[in-house]
Amino acid sequence: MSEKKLQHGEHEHLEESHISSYKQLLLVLFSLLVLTAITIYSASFNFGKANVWIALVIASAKSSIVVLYFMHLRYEKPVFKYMFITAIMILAIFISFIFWDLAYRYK
Amino acid sequence: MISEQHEHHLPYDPEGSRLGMWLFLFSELLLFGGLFILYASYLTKYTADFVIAGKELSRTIGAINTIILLVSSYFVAASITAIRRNAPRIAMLYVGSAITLGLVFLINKYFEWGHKFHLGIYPRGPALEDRTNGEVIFYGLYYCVTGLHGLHVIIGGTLLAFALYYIYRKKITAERFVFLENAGLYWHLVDLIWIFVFPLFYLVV
Repeated sequence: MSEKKLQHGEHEHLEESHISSYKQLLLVLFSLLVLTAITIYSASFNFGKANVWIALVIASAKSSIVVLYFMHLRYEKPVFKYMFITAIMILAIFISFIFWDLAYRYK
Repeated sequence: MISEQHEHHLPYDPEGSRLGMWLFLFSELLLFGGLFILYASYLTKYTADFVIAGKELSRTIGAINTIILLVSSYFVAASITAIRRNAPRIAMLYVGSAITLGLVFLINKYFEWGHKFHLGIYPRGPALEDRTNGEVIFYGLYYCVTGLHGLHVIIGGTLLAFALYYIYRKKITAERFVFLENAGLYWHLVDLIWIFVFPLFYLVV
């Protein structure tokens, strides 16, 4: 059976029928909870402006984990990944232009 | 691979369905992205006021709600594993648990908002009259973002309730489970947005 499926290309087979194991999903949940604890802990210090950046970096890491494993993007076809990257880039352009404007506004 | 069930006239295309769901989620991302841009631009202008107002939000409830959403996201992801392993009862248990946690989240939110309303902290509320502009803006954004997010929790919970019913009626099976996948994608988006809402509103230092 496995030989027959390997003929179609192992990679393709993996993409089409990947089922996340409970163990993997629990590990993902655990890492998300740990990162939440780090977020809360880091907020008990005053790093000045760095605080919001630390929070955003951790939040980005957490959302990457959610998107890749819970939302299964890692095991989707490339077109899903290209679409996702495009959407994020549009959002990034949108945000960076606003900040470009803001940087010169309140002076 | 032609479906033998004649009740389904449309070809079953799970990949196309998921692609459509992702496209919709991107528009949601831009919707919330706009609100986060507002937050970021006002934060640069009224940093001190945001810190004062943000400290009034309960970190404990915020943290509890974060954990609730993360665990419920796990339940939804696990329900897909269960249905694909042909265990519909376990899948129903997982989806049911996720819906329950969603309800607990909303109940927490109700008490949180209720307490703030009681103190007169709401848009044009008496307690905000003599506060600074920055604090008024912070609470305006807080109600907009958490309100819109709460609406998404209600919609996501409803979708999951439909998924639960469809598993029960055997319309979602080990072979046909894209509805559960798409409802799950929506639920994860709700979680994703909260991942940013929590530190930005509850943990401003």
